[in-house]
Amino acid sequence: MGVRLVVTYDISKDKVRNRVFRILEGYGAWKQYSIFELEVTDVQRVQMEEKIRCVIEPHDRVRIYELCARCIGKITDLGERSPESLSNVV
Amino acid sequence: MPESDRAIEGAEAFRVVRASEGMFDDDVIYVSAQKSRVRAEGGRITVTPWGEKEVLASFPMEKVRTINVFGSVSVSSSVLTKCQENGMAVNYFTYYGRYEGSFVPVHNTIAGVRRHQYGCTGNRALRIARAMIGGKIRNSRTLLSRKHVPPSARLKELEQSAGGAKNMGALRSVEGEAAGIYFASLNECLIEGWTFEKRTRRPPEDHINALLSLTYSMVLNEVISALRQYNLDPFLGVMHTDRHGRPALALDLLEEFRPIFCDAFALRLVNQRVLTHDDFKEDNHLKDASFKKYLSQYDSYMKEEFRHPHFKYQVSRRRAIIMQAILLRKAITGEMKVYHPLVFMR
Repeated sequence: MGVRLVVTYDISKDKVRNRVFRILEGYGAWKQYSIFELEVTDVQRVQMEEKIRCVIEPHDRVRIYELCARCIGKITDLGERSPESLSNVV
Repeated sequence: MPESDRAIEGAEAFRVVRASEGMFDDDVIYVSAQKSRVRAEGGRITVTPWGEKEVLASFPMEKVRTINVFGSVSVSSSVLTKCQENGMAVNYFTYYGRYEGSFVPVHNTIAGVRRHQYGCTGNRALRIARAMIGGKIRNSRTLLSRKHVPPSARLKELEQSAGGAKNMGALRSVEGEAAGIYFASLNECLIEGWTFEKRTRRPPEDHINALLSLTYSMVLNEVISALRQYNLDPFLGVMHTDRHGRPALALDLLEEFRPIFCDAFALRLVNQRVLTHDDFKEDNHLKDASFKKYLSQYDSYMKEEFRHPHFKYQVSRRRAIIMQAILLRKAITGEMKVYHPLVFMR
């Protein structure tokens, strides 16, 4: 379907960091984690990267890791497990 | 039953969805929690109860394409602004799922689906229609055998000829012959004191026909609503021709449900003596109190779950109709090569 991404960032200004956070949560990033994991289509990924590129400043760093199917199967949770899926009915 | 009680009774109708269905409709969300508010906050669409802060659910804005709201749910203007930006559509339904209207942004993704739908003619339409009619005939046979009435061998032949029909005219005549045979046998499924001479319409001549007509229009409404939820135009059909005011696509999709949901429900009401001849007025319509009884029976019937013959998990009949709308949409847009009707083999 899509790709699973892990996004980390090192951004000094609160304002810029918040903007990047807003962009990431719009693509399904799980909240309250210090590292973001999301599943997007190729098109969504391109859009998202472009949006982030527009808001960050020269000294900021955002790094995106793509997880392959084999890596996803090898994820280990310690403590509370991460939410795997979201019900679309409220 | 006052309107408000009925609303509460219908409350569970759209609640049930399993995580396993995620593959279907990641980009469509349903809000049926009453007295709730849908808002845009940051990159998320959130649902909160009126006047409260606690968030019931939140969805990633960039992934949502359609928001379906049922009953008293308010959608904030912040969401509508985001809809404009992202091409999201909001469809409004009553608590019962009757379609009321939509908010369709200037830039929208509905056009893509509609373009496929309007272009779905000729062989593509025929392929879908064949599958629907084949499914309907199969379901007719299944219903008869469930009622221990051996279905005529001709029905089986007709089911096969539906699959190979050369054109829409041939398919329609197969459908007509099958319906004739099926309705002739349906009389044997009724308990004593009820007869079913032939299928009549406008106006239905007897109680059983009146009951069938009522049930068809109830289920038709659900089908229309399901098609709307997936941004299909219910008025442009693949088999039924579009005449003014006739929901042709909904009538197409209704076909496979007629025997197995509609007729089965009417038979149950009669055979289990939920309704008797005394429940009908002179003009063959149900008396007011009986109609309310009918509605509540209908609602629980649609909520009843069964094991989906194709997906192998429990779904309600109502949910199954929505799933067929999704499959139909996939067949229309070409995302899936063929349409898979909901077929019960036994």
